[in-house]
Amino acid sequence: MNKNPQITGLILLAVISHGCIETFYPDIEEYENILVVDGMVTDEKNPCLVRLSRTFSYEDFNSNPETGATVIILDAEGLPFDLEEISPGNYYTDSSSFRGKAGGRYQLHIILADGKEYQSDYVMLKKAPPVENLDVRYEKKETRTQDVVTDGLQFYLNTYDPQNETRYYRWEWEETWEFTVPMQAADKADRFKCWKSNVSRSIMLGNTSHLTSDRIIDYPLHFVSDETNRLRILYSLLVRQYAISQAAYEFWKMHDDLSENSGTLFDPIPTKVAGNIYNLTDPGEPVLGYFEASGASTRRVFVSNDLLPKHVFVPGDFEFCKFLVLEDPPNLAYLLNSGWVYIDEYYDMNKLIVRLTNNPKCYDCTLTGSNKRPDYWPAE
Amino acid sequence: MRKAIFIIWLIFCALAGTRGQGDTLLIDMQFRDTDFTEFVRLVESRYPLRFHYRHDWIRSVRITDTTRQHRLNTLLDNAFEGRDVYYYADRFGNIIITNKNPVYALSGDFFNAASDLDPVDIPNQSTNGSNQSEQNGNQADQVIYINGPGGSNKGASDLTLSGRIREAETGEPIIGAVVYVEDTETGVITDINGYYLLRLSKGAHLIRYHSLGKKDVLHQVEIYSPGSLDVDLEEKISRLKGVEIVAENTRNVTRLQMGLDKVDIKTIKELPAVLGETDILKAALLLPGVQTVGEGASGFNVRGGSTGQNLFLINAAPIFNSSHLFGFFSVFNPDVISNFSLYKSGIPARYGGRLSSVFDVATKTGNRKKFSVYGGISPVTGRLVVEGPIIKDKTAFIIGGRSTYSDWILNRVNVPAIRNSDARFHDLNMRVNHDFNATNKLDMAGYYSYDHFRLNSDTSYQYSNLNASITYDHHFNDKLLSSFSGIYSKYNYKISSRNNPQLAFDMTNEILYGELKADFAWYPNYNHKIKFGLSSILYRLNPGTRLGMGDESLIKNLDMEDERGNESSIYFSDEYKINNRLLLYAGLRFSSFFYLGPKTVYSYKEDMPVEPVNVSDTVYHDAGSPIETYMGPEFRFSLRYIIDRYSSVKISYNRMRQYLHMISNTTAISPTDYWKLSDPYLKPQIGDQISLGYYLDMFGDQIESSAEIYYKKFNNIVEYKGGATLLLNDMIETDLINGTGKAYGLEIMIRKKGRLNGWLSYTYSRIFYKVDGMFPSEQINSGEYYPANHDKPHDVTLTGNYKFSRRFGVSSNFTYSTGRPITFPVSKYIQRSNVLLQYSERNQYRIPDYMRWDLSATLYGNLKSKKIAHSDWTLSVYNVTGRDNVYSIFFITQEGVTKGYKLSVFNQPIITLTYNFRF
Repeated sequence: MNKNPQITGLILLAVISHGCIETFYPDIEEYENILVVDGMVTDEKNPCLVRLSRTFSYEDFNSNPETGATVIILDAEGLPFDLEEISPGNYYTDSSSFRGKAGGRYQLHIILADGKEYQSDYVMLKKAPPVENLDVRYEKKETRTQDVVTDGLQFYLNTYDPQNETRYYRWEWEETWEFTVPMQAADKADRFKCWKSNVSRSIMLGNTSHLTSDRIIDYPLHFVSDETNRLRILYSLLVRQYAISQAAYEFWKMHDDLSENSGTLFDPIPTKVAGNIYNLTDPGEPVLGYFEASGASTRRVFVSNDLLPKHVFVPGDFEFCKFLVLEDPPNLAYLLNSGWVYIDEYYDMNKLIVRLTNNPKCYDCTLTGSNKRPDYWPAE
Repeated sequence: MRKAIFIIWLIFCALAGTRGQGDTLLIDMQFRDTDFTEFVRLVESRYPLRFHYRHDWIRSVRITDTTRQHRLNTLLDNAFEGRDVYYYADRFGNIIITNKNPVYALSGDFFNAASDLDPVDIPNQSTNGSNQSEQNGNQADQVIYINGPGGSNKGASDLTLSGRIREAETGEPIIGAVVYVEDTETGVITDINGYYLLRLSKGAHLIRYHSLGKKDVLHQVEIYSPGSLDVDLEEKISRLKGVEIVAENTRNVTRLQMGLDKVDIKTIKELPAVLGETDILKAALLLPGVQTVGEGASGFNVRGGSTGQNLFLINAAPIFNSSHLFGFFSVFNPDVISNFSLYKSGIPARYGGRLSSVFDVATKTGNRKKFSVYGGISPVTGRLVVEGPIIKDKTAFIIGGRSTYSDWILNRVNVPAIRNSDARFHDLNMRVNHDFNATNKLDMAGYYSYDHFRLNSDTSYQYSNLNASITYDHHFNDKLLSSFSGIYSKYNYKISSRNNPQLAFDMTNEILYGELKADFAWYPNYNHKIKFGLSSILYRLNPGTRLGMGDESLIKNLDMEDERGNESSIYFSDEYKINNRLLLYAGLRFSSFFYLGPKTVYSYKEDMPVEPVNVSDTVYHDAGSPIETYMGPEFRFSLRYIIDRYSSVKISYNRMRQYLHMISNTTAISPTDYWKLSDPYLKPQIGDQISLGYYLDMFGDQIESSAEIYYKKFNNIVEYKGGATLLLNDMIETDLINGTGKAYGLEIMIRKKGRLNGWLSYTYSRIFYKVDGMFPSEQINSGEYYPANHDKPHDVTLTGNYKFSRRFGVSSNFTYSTGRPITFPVSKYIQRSNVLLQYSERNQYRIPDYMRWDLSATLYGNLKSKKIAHSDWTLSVYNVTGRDNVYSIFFITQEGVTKGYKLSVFNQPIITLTYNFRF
C-alpha cells in the first residue's frame, strides 16, 4: 500500500498543469545543541554500541561526539553493565560479560562529563523471527522528486512469525559487491579486484498489527540500479531484521513520515519527535534519540550478473579513466608534472613501455574499496 | 414579461404646478367610437398627459364625442358611466384610472416626494399598452390602491403590506431583494421564499423593489388596510438602451447584518476561473477575511477559523466535504446556484453548529413558465441543466448535472505514473417546488456528489455527499409565517487497495445526519421582527470500518463502534427598530448535545496523560443512554446606527458552539479527514466574536465601502499530538488535545458599481493557537501562543470587470497574500546510520508570499431574445504573469543527504476556453 497516494495525486495535477518541484535553500539560522543518544541492545554476539553526540546544524553533515561520559546499561534486576568509550562518543559493552536476551528488560543510564544525568525508559527485547526470504526482481523504478525512471534489481523481503508476536519490524541492510579496476598494474596484482560495502541510510519499517497473520509480504527493501557497477560481477545483500517494540516503531514511524514528506498539504505537520531518554533532574531538557532493545536475525543473498537480462550493460564506474601507454617516453617528467600518474613500466620488444593514468583509482582498487576478500564471499 | 406596465415615471416635471389638469384641460380633438387605448394614444401624443390603468378595466370602453372642444373630465365621465371605473388626475398630468375603488382624495404632496428621485430603470413605454392585450395579473400600475379608503381599518396607522417578489421570467422567488419605502427611508429584505412584510402608515407611499441584476420597480402605493402586493422583477439585461440606471443602494449602509458577503452567481461567472471552471468557493476567497492555505486546497479559513469550522449548507442541508479533485474545484455546480451568503460575524440565531462561518448556498428553483436547457463545456467538465414547469405556475423542477472528463486528459499524459492514474467526479442537483396556494408551499431539494481517484494503479479513493431536504411553508396570516423542514445528509468515503491480493482491503467512513426543524417569523408590529424556532439533529458516525477483500487477504477486519449524538437547539431573536437610525438585533440560541450509547468508553488514570498505557477502566454504555451532555447559550447581538444617508456604524457580538469536529492533522483538508462528535474528552468548541464596522457610500452610491475590525476567541479547538494516528484509532482521545485560540483583524472593502465594476479589499488578520496541557506531550511550542497554519497577515484583492458593450466584457483579478507559516528543520542528528531532522517550534517560518493576476474575456452571443439558443464564450488566463507561487516547502532525506524542495502548482499562465449555451 502506498502510504500517501493522494500526494502523488497532487504532484500529478501539478505536472499536468505545468507545476514543478525545484530545490529550495532555506534560510535557517536557528540551531539547537541537544544531546543525542543512539543505542541498541540486541541478542547478537557482537558488542552493543551506544553513541552519544550533539545535534548539528541544518547545513552541516557531521555530528560532534559527546566524550567522557559514563554509560551504564541496567538489566531488569538492576545489575549494571559498564560501557567503554572505544572511540570518541562510541561506547561499547563488553560482549563477554553482557549480551541481550529475549524477554530481557534494559535501561540506559548516562552521566555526562559535566555531571548531568540521564536515563531511558525500560525497554524489552523480543526475539526476531528469521527472514523468510529475499526475492529479487528486475524492475523499473521512478525517483520521487524527478521524472526519472531507472532499471535495476528490486529486493523484496518476506517474513513470517508463526507465533504472531513480533508485529513491529525494522530492517537494515548492508550491500557488498565485487569490482575490478580497468587496468591491472604489473607489480600490483592485488590491487585489481576489490570489494566495496554500503549500509542502509533510510528508515525501513514493517507493521503487521492490522493483519490476521504476522506476515510481511513483499516489502520493497532495496533497489539496485543497473547504472552503477554494483551488479557487474557479484553482489551480495545482508539484511538484518529487528523485532522492535511498538513504542520504538512509533518513534521511527514519525521520522519516516517526516522524511516521506512530499510537499502536498496532505502531509502531516512536522513536529519534534521525542525519544525515550530524559534528564533526571530537569525533565524539560530536550534529549533526542532512542534506546532500543531488539531481537535480530540476518539473511544474506548473492546476486550475480547473470540475473540481469542479456541486453543490459552494467557500467564499470570508471568511465573517467584515461590511460597513456608510451614507448620510450622522452618527456615523462613533463607528463608527470602536468598531472598524469605513473602506473608501471615494462619492456616489450626491447622497448620501455611506460603506462600512465589520469587517476590512481584507475589501477588501484584499494582507493575505492578493500582488497580483502570478505570471509562469506564465495570462492571462485 | 410584464405586459401591464404602462407608465411609471414622468421624466420632466414641466407640468408641476398646473394643478388638477383633468378638471380644466380642454381636449381639442374629435373621437368617433374610438377604442379607449387608441384614445389614450391620441391624447398622449398631443398633450402632456399620462394615463395609468389596467387593460382589462377599460376593455370595450369607447369614446364618442364629435364636439371639437371638450373637457377631459366630461369625456371620461361619459366613457366610464355605468362602469365601476373611476379616475383621478394629479397636477403632473397623470390620469390614474382605478377599478372598483373610487378615489376621493390623495395626499397633497403625494407626488412631490417622488419628484426628487432620479429616473429609474423602467422601460419608458409611455404609450398605453394597446399592443399588450394579455394581462398577467400583476399589479404594475403606477398607483396601487390597497383596499380603498373607508374600509374597516379606519384609524389604523400601522398597516402591513406583504407579498412575494419573483423573477419575472421564471417565476422563481428572489431571496434578499430589497423592498424600500422611499418616503420613510425604511426597508426590508425578502426571505428565503421571496416574501416580504412591510409596516406602513395609512396613506400614500413610494415603494422601490430592488434586487441585484434586476430592474428596479417603483410602485406608488395607497394603503388603507392590510394587503398584499406581489411583484415580478425583470432581468436588467433587457433594459432599454440609454436609460440611466441609478439603482438606489441602501444595503451597505442600512442593512443590519455585518460581516455578510452576498454574491450573485452572475458576478462570479464574470470572474476569471481556474481551468475555466466557475467556482463559488474560489470566488469566496476573493472576499475580505476569507483565505486559503494554498492554491487548490480544499475549504477555506474565515477570520482565523479552521476549515472545519465552516458550515456549508446547500438548500439547508449540510455538506461535509466541499471539494472535488483534491480541492481544485468545489462541489457546487455554478449553473444551478442562485446565490450564496457567507456569514462571518453577527451570525443570526437561526444558524448554529460551527464556529467561524455559515456558507449558505441556495440553488435555483425551476422555471414555472417554460422549459429551458442550458449548459457548458470547459476543459475539465461538461454541465447540463434542464428546468421547467410540471404544472404551469404551480409546480416547477430543475435538475442539473456536471461531470468531469479528466480521465481523458490524464490518459493522454506521457508519464506512466499519470497515465495509470484516474480521477473523476460528478454531481447532481435537483429541486422541485410546488405552490398549493399563496400561503402553502412545498420545496424539495436533493444533491449528490461523487469523487473517485486512483493513483498510479494503487490505492483508490472514493467519497460522496448525498443530501435531501423537504420544506413546507405555511403562512398563518400576514404576521406569522412558518417553515417546517426535514433534512437528511450522508457523507462517506472509501479507500481501497487491490494491488497485492494478500493486502487487499476496503476502508470506509460514514456520517449520517438527520434533522427536523421548525422556523417561525412573527411581525407583531412595525418595529419588531421576531424569529424563533427549534431543531433537532441526530448524528450517526462510523469512524471506520476495514475489511479484507478477497480470499487471500490477510487484512484483519475491523469495525469501529458507531458514534451517536443528538444536537437540539431552540432560538429566539428580535430585530427591533428603535428609531429610524437605530436598529437592534438580539438573539439567543440555546443548544444542547447528547453523546449517546451504545458505545464503549475508556477512562484514564487521573493526573496522568491521556495515553493508552494509562487506561484505568472500560465502560460500556447502553443504546440511547447519554454518555456525556453539553449545553449552553449562544448569544447573538447586532446594532446598527445610521449616521446619515451615506454612512452607518454597526457592532455585533456572537457566540457559537460546535459539537461536530473535523479531524484533520494536515495543513489542508485531505480526502481521509473525517468528522467526530464531542465526547467525554473532546469538548465542544466555543467561539466568541466581537466586531465593529463603519460603512460609507460615496459618489452618489457608486462606491460602497466598509471597514470592519474583529476580535475572536476560540475555546477547545482540536489539536493533535505529534505523530497522531487518526484513522481507525479507537482511542482517538489519546492523540487529540484541546487548545485555545485568538484571532483579530481588520477588513477594508471598497466596491464600485457601474459599467466598470469590481472591488478592492484588504485584510489584516492574525490567528494564534495555544495548546498548554498538563503534560509535555499535551503541549505545542511549550504551551506558548503560535501562529496557526492559516495565519496569513496581509491579503489584498483587486477585481475589476468592464463591459465594453453588451456583448463583450473583460475581467481582471489580482490577489496577493503573505505566505503561510511553516515549520523548518533546524538541526540534524544521527540514529542507526540515518540522518534524522529536528524541527523548529511549530510555524516559525513562512513560505514566500503569494501573488497572482488573472484575466478573462467573455463574448456573449447576439442578444436577440427570440433565437433558439443563447451562447457565450469565455477565454480566461489564470496566473497571467506565470509567477512561480510556492505551494509548499518540504524536506527529503535520501542516502543521508537532506534537501529542501519547493512545489509550485501553477507556474505558467493557464489559458482555457469555456463554452456555455442556453436554450
